[in-house]
Amino acid sequence: MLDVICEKCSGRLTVEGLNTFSSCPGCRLKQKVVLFSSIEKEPEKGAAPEAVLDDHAACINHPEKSAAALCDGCGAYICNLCDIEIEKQHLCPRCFNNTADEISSVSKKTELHDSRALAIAFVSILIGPLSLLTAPIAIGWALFHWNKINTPYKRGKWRFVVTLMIATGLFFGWSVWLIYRIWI
Amino acid sequence: MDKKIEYKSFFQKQKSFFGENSLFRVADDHFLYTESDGYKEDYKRFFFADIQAVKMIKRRDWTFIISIFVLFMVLVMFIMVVAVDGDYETGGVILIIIAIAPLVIAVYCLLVGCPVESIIKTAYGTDKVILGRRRRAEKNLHKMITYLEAAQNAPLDDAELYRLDEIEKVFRI
Repeated sequence: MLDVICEKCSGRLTVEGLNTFSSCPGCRLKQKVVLFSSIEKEPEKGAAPEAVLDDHAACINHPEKSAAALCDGCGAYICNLCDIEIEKQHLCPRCFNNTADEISSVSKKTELHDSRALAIAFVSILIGPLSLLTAPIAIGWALFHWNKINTPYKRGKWRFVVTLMIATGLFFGWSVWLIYRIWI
Repeated sequence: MDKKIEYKSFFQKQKSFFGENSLFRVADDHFLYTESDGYKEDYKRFFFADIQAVKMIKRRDWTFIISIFVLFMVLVMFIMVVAVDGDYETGGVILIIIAIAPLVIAVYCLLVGCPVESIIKTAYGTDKVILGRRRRAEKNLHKMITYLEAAQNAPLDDAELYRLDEIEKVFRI
């Protein structure tokens, strides 16, 4: 029998009430559960590595298993189980962990430096002559992080461009104003 | 290593109460779920073939909030009728505005539907996502299903569910 259990209260949900909003018999919360056919699927554990033979190199992590690839990060021999193939590269688990944040298709979080630079530029507009201090920060921030946006999706650089335009304009504008006030 | 996957926006950006926003993007074989506070983004990937279930839970405090709004409106109306005489027009207008404001909020809440907590369950774990309030969440779920149908026979209809009822399996969601 298929037992669909509510994780909040461990109450058993009836099959009749699944595809529509109905009350959980335990916690009385109205909930709708839509199930898909992969419910029967278990997580894949990876291909089983082959036993090592006399004339074969062994895996660095599993000496009894035959190596299937070379790690593109550190060059170590790795078996099927240790081989993580990502973006046409073979990596051992250690190299994968060390570089995961640099691989855009697996990164889990990203700092949005372009939004920060733009925020600094907008704040600079509000603070008048003090932007002589903050505008260079915005320019520096934009230039330093120009290639450091690592989102998994394509993110345009327009925020950096707008930041540079605003900050440069403010800096030169207020500089001219300051020079004019001092010398003229 | 910098090969970007082609994503397209899947449905409208959803905003949470605390100003965080979330967005679903879709690729050939997975959804990319993004949660952002404006300066930092967190990502979760849900592969079509891995999604086992989607659960939506109506929030319990919903009826309570609507009741408070309606009660407040009734109370102000009562004060208005009892305390304001015909000569004091300004006070009456202010009280009407105070009484109507919660009514407008209550009607808006009823129109957009109650807040729901949405959960996506895969073979590897359970993740909370923001799909919007009930009506929008249902619409978004429907859109998701169109993608999932290509990867698996989704969703399970009643006949399939009864077939699964024959197998020994405990599924927690």
